[in-house]
Amino acid sequence: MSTEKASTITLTSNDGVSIEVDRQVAERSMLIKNMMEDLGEGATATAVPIPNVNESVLKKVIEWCEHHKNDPQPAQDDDSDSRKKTTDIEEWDQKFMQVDQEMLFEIILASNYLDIKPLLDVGCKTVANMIKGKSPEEIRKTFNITNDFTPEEEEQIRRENEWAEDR
Amino acid sequence: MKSHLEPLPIELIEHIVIFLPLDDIASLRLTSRAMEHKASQGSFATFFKHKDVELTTTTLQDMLRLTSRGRLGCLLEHCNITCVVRSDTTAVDEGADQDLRTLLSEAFRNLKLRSSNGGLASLCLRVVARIEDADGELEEPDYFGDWKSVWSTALRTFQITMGALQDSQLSVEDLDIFGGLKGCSLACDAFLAFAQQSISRPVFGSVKRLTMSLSVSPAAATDPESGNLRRGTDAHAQSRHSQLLLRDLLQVLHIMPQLESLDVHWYNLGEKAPFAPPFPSDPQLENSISPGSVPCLKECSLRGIHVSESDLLHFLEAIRPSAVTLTNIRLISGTYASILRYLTDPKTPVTMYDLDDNCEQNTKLVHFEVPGNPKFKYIGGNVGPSSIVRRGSQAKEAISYRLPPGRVIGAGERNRWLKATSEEFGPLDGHYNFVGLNRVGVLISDDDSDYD
Repeated sequence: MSTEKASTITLTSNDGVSIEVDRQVAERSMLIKNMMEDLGEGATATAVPIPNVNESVLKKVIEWCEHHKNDPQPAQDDDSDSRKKTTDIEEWDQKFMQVDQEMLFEIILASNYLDIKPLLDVGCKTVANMIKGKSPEEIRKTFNITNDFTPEEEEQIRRENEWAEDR
Repeated sequence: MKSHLEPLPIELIEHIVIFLPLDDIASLRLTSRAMEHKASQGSFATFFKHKDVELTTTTLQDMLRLTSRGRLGCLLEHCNITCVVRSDTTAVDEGADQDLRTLLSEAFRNLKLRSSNGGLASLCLRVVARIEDADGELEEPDYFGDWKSVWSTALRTFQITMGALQDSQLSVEDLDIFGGLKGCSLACDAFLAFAQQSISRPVFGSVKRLTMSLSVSPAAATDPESGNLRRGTDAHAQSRHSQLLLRDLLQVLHIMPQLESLDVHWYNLGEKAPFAPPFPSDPQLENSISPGSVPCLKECSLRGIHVSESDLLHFLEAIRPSAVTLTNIRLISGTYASILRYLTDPKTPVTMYDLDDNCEQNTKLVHFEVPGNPKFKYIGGNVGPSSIVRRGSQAKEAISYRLPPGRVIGAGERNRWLKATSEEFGPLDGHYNFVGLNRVGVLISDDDSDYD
C-alpha cells in the first residue's frame, strides 16, 4: 500500500448528494474499508455511490462514525460476543438514537448495508428496549403492527410460548 | 401509518431478538403472523431443544400438538420425562397409564417423523415428589419419606416411556433411567423383562450411552405380611439379585449393538450389608458370552454392585471396555487380584480405570499401595488411598492393595463417609428423604485428596 493515505473520500447518497468524509471515519464501514483495500488508492479519487441510503440517513450515519472514529475496530469474529444479552447503550449513543421510528429503522438498514456492526447493535438494542416489558398489544401500538391472527392461531402461539418458557 | 419493524428482513429481526429475554420474544411473537414467523428463528428456536415433560394428560396433549407439522416442538433434542410421586398413594389406574402411553407414543411418532435427526439425542427418566398444600396446589415438600411410592412411580415412568419408545420406534442415543437421582431406582427384574421382550421389537438398537440405577423390586425386599423391609437371612434375596445382575446384563447387552458407554448403579434396599452366600459359578455363563456383542463399548461404570470375583472378571472380559470405573463394588467372594491383573495386563484394551471405595469379603475396604492418604485412618498402621485413577501407559503398571489393618480411628470422617455412601447406594433406612437426597448441594464432598 502507499505510504500516504488519501485523507478524505466522497460518498454519494441515493438521492445524488455527495458528502466528503475523512477516510478514517468512512472506514468504520467495513463495506467501504474493504472496497478501499480492494480498489487501492485510485478509488479515492472518484465518489463512492451508496445506493441504498439517502442523504439525511447517510449524514446521520456519518455523524455516528465521526464520534466513534477512534473506537477500536471490532474483532472479525465477535458474533458471539455481541450476542450478550445486555441492552446497555452508552449515553451519547442513546441521545443519538432519539429519532423518529422511520429514521431509527433507516439507520439499522443502512448500518447493516454498510456493515457497521457496532451501530447495528446500538440500533437493534434501541428497538429491543422499546419492546422490553410490553404486552403484545402495547408492542403492536408502538410499532403500528396489525393483529392478523385468528383466535385459534393466537392460542397456538401462546401454547408454544408456554412450552418454551416452562422447560 | 405503516409499520417499520414488521417489514425488516428476518436476519435483522433476529438481531433484535438476540437482545430480548424469552418472555419479551414471546410477546413479540404474539403481535402478528409476520412477526411470529420472523421472531421464531435462531434464538427462540433454541428454547425448544430441551424440555422437561411431565407425565400428565395435559402436558402430553400439548407435546402432541407442538410436535405436529411445522411446529417448533419438533426441534426437541433432549427430553426429560418426569413423573410426579404424590403422598396420597391413590391406586394406580392402569387405564390412565395406557392413555399416557398412547399420547406419548403419538408425540414420539411426530418426533420420529419430523425432528431433524429422526430421534432424540437424550432421554432422561425422572421422578419428583409433590404434596398438596393448603390451597390444593402441588408443591415440592421438604420431606418425602415414602420410598415405596417413589419406586412404584419410577416403575410406571419406565413402563410408560419405554412402551411409548417401543410403539413409536423413536431412536434415542443417550438413555438415562433414573441415573441422575438419588434414592430412586428401577426394579431390575422390570428392566430385564422389558429388555427380553424388546428383542422382537427393538428399543435399544440406537442407544449409545445407557445410564441406569437399579435395585431389587420392592416386593422382593419387603415382607409380604408386614410390608417392612426384610432383615437377616431374609434379605439375601436382594444380594442374590445384585449378584446375578452382571450375568443377566450379559444376556441382554446384545440388543444394544451401538452401545459405547454403560453405567450401572445398584441401590441397596435392605440392610447394611446383606451378604448372601455366593452362587456357584455358572458354566452356562461362558457359553452365553459372544465376544463382539457390544462391539462399540468403550466405557463401563459399575457402582454399588455386590458380585463375585469370577462374575466381575467374566463381565469385563466379555464387554472389553477401554475405560473402567468401579465404585463401591462389594466382592462377596474372591479377591481383586484377578481384576487388577486384568486391568493392568498390556494385552487387554483397558487404557483408563477409576477405582473408588471397593470392598472385599463384603465390607473390607480396598486400599491401594500407592502414595496418598486414606479417607480415614486405622489402628495398626498406615494404608494408602482407597481410590486410584490411572491412564495411558501408567494404567499398565502393576498395582497392589491391602485390606484395613485394624479398627478405624477417624470416626468422624468415617461417619461422614458412611452417610454419603448410604445416601448414594443405600441401605434404605429410617432416614430416607427423597427430597432431601436430591436437593442440590446437599452432599458435602470430602473426596478431594485422591487424585494422582
